Amino acid sequence: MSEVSLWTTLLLTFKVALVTTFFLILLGTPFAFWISQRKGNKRAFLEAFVSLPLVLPPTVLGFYLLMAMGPEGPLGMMTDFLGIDPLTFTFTGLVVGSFFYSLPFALTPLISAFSDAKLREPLEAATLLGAGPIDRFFSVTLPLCRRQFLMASTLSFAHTVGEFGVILMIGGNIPGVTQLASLSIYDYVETMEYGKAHEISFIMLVLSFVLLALVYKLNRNWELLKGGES
Amino acid sequence: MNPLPPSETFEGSLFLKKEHFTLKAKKFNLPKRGLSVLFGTSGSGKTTFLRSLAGLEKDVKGNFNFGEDFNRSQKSSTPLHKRNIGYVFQGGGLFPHLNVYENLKFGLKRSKEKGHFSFDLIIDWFKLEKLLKRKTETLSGGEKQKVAIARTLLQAPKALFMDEPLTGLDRESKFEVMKLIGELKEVFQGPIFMVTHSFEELKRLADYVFYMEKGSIKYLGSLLEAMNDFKGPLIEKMGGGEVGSVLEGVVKSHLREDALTVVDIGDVDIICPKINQELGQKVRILIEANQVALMESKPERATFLNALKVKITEVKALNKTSVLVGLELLGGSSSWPLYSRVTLKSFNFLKLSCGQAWVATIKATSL
Repeated sequence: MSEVSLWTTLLLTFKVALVTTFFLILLGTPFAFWISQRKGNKRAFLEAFVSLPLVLPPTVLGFYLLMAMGPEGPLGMMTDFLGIDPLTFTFTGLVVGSFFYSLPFALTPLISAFSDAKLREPLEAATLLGAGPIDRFFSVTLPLCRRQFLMASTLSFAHTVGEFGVILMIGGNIPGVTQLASLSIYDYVETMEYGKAHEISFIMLVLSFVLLALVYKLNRNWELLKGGES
Repeated sequence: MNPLPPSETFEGSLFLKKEHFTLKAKKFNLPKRGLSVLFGTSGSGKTTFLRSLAGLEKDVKGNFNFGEDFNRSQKSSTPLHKRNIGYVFQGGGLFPHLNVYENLKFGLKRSKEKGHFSFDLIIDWFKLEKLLKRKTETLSGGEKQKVAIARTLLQAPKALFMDEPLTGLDRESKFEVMKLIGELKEVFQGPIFMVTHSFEELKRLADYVFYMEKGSIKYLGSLLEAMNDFKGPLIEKMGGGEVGSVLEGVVKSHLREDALTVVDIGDVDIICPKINQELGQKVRILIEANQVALMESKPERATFLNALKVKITEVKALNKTSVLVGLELLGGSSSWPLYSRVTLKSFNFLKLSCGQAWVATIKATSL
């Protein structure tokens, strides 16, 4: 079994989750906004696409991502073309995998926030008061949707911390490099090291609870601040 | 349809098809100045018409101009956020995440126009000083409307649109906001369009009326014409006791001890309850058809303050029991019509008909 300390694994886990969440919000926001402006069949198709990771077994997603990142896959060919190492079994690979795995958790709250009819009037008011589309996004949409942003970030982060199948497929469970907490717990259990499994599980449990409690507290404060407006 | 003089108007046409509703206004004239009220029952399309004029409705076909760069001829049109249109939403449409001060600054910061109303002047005029730091959800309905109107004035808009700004306000706030709108329309340079379904607001504030029914404009004209057009749709709609004529006159004198004011409506004096205006000021008075009675000769003693000689010009049955009688004032240069609502029984008993001369006793109220 690995010589890597428990804290290295935990730190790596949270690092992957943090970086993934960052990119999900950064890239997911314009994507969610774009989807929210579509109508009819196109919208249904896009939403179904975004929700796929919810229903697929993580191994299916992991398998296809592994194929895509491999030398024959599109991502693999791209990394090859750019002269960088393949993404498989790397930190970046984990982030890319987690990105797709947690995509619905980031996008769904944002799409529903951006489609909310309650935004229509403030946005119209902002337009007539002279705010262009980008100005409106930052001055009206973003502040009015901050609770949904908080929700999207928390869910993405939490979901990424808890993933197993996808990272096993594309990360390869290399201690200190791609071995995240969930995998290391599995390994400890496999090797009957229940004490260590318990140690890391318990820390995960406490940290996750503290994180969620903080988020709900913040959410509640914003709610009070805005008089129940969501 | 009653066209307004071309020098005072923009020409427009507008067509919009929505799911269960079609808005059709072929060729209409929009006043360049003054307050135009879009009037009609709910579902008549007045709000949609207002939104279309302001540019908020997509898929509008048509064309109209407010000044040079307000051209809504499809793709060539200026983007909405560069048109500098003032719009007051029903309920205000304030930003819930900003306080009053930040709301007021929103348009001001982005406006390229130099407004003729400074921030301080507006704050003073609308009495907003104490509200500046407040969160918008703590404001009353009337305060929200004041902030919304002030916010849009600060952007120095070319045209001002208001969607039912007085609906749902309590009596006191309604009166306060109504007074502000009344003052505003005297100094605002561009056209003001306001949606309402209240006769009171129409009578007090309107210079022009767009009467709408089922998505089209049934009547367009000045308020005084509309209210006094015996055959027009407004009189028809007001059948339920709200019929009355709106007259314009100047304050001639105040009878302070009796708390009365004499208004000259064209060599004819009308005495009405005290109006707080200087001598010579233009004022509007309302004479409701229910407050006009006809009698053969001037009574010696009566509670009515006004007894004027009139001639019957028109008669129209309102319903099974009452008749509306159109009257013309005799003597003086006034051409304001008056209406008297009489019961069918009196009408038949007195054998009223056009051309007869009567004395009308009148109770007038100021608007």
